[in-house]
Amino acid sequence: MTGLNPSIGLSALAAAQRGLEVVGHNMANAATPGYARQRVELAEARPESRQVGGQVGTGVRVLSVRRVVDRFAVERLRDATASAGYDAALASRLGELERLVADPSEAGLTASAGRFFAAAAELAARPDDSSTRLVFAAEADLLTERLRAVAGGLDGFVADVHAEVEAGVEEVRGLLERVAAVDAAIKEARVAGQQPNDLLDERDRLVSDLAERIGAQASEQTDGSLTVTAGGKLLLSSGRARPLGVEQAADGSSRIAVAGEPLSPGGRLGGLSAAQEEAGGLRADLDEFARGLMLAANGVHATGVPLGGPYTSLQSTVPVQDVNGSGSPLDDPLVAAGLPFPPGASEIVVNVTDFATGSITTTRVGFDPSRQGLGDLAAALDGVAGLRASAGADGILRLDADPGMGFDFAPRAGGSADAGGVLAGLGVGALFAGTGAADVRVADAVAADPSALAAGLSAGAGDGRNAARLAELQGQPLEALQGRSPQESVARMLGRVGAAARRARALSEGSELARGSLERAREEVSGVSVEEEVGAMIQYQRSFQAAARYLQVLHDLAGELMQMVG
Amino acid sequence: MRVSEQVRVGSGLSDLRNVERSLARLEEQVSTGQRIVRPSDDPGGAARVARLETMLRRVDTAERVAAGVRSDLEAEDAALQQLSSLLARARELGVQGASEALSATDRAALASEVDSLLGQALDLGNTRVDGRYLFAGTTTETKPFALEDVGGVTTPTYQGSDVSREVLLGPGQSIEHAAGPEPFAGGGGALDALVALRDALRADDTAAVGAGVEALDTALDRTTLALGTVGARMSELDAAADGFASEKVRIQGLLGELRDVDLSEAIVDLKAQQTAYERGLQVVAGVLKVSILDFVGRL
Repeated sequence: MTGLNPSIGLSALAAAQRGLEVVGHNMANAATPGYARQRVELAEARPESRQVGGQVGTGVRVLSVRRVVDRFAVERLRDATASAGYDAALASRLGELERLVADPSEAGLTASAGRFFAAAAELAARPDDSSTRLVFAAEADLLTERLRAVAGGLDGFVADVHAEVEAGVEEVRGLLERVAAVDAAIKEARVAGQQPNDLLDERDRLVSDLAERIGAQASEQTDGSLTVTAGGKLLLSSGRARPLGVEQAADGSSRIAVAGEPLSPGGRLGGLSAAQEEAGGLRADLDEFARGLMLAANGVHATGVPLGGPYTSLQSTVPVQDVNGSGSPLDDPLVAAGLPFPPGASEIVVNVTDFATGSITTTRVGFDPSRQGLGDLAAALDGVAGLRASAGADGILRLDADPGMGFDFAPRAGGSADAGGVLAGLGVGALFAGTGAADVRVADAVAADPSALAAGLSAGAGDGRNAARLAELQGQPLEALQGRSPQESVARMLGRVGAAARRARALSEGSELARGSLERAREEVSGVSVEEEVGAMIQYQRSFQAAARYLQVLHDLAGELMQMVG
Repeated sequence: MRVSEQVRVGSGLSDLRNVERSLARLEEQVSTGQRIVRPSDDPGGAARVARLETMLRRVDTAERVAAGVRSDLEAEDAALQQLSSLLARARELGVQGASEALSATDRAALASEVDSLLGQALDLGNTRVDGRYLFAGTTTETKPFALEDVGGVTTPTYQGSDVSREVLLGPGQSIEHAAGPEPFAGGGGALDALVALRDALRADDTAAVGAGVEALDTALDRTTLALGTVGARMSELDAAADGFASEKVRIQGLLGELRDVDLSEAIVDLKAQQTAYERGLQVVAGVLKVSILDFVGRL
């Protein structure tokens, strides 16, 4: 009685139920990110071998439930996600850098530098006014404070980014472990003959996260396991993650390594590294500006005369070091004696004033720091009548005038007084102390008493010519700033950070757009459309109803036969 | 093309986000009135703005310095004018004293008047503005002129410096304070001449009184010369101040062009973007409202 066999109806019921199940699953996950819609694949069941007339099949079979995925769309999206991650991280971090360096307010670096030079010009006009002296000292202090703050901010920025890199690497490690776990589960399911659709979705999601974070790329091996690489280095293969580490280099930037090999990452971590690099470049620019300004300002200030007239006693503030290991710092040539600003060959003008008569004797002392040391300098200066000079084992130069005498290094006849910057290098009569942007400060003597400001080139309180030289530095090309003036140097920093931030922002907007359109391309294939699902649902509903009706008919026919028999 | 749920919601929202971004930027421009809020808005422009602002600050400083120098020069001018009329009065007294018709007592009376003029001249030489001595060269902190008694003879002394004060106005532009000690100090100066006249009158020495009058002439010449220089410096300063004022206008104009936003344009853009935003919201809301589920219930 093959004709009344209910198995065809039962197979139809089962297929419709399976179809409805999948529709339900799809609709439930319509909003799940990274979900790929699934589809029941049906086929007709084979007919039995011997039948009269012709073969009729035995119903419907559920072949499998498959994900609808376009491999290439997924891979393109993954690459776009990686570059969007890179650009977004870089843009947001550079925006931060920009606020740090290019503060447009009165407290910003540009305004501080401008006010410092303006204060110098006012000091030049009113050198005998104690309030202009105080204002100049205060502006100099503010400028150094700003330089230190920006330098500290940049260092803090790099450290902060490093912390984020560390957290990111930790995350990547976790993701790799999860990929390995999912890989194992997929293998198990396949061995059991199952199609692990949702596990495959999860693995795709994890790999996309990896791409966003470190620019990872993945390829499936023949055994179904995934190989993950980043920056050309293997991160995961045959279900085993390789050890990923991160260290801070000497300059504070982050170095990522996999199994000991340096890795240059893409994705967000790559963007963070690029931001660190930009910060490092700005930090170097800032240091160059600070050092150029210190060297030039100190050179001018050392060759001036303070409010009280010529010095009677003066000490260097930067000690020379015993570099050549002779046991004494005095014989080390000054170019290699551990000075933060090594001097060049110079001719130092020494004016000795006899206070009783007012007469001034000028002597020029030649000095070659490439072969002469502090001891030689002390001896040469000691040779000037009216001046006693000595250098101790502490590497400090001490200058004292004979009683009734005073000395200074001002170019009273014009020209330059210490072209090689020997006095500035030793910190004799300095305006700024320190070695760079991080530790620049107003020299102790000036900070303690603004009358120590050497505003003049002669003994008069109304002589502001040296302050005028300081003010003129603003627009003067300086060798230490590679031929740029201090004001140009600051403007250039501003332009640099602005251009970098602008570029990163534009790239980020572009790559986000690209990511979005590839996301849509993926969704077109794999996304869930409720309309479509509702259509499928109605179709399965109808086929379920039809199958039930078919079984009802079989049941009725069988009942009628039974009655006949009865 | 299949349109999935996520695309339907997502693409509408991402378009809205783009409009939101440009709205935020326009709002920032309109509220600050500036086109360049941060350097990345226009890196080249920002660097130029920084340069121009530095120049503007420099010109502001130069204007302040010039105003200070001008007030000094005005004080110098006033003091020299007074000195000049004082010397003219002394000369009259000298010419009277040289007349043979006068008695020794008359001359003594004239001498005491000249003595008081000498005191006034000394005070003028020691004129101070804001605590600075004007006629002392660069040693503005020491009182420059004094009358010393050297062996019973009154001797005017000068303690100041010979270096004339030089003031930096703009970059590479400096101006010298005009008046040095010359009208007062040394042989040929007012103080020496007045002392000589007074002592000659006291000594009742007509020949010496004549010499004193001649010395006064020299002093008057010097004073007039100094007045001329002060006047020339003042007009030099005025010319410089005019230059600063027009430079300032020029820089502010450039800054405005670079930095300021065209408000009417920005506001029109802002309105357009707002309209686009509202329309976008309506479209998204409308699309999301229509669903097949509203219809299948009736099947």
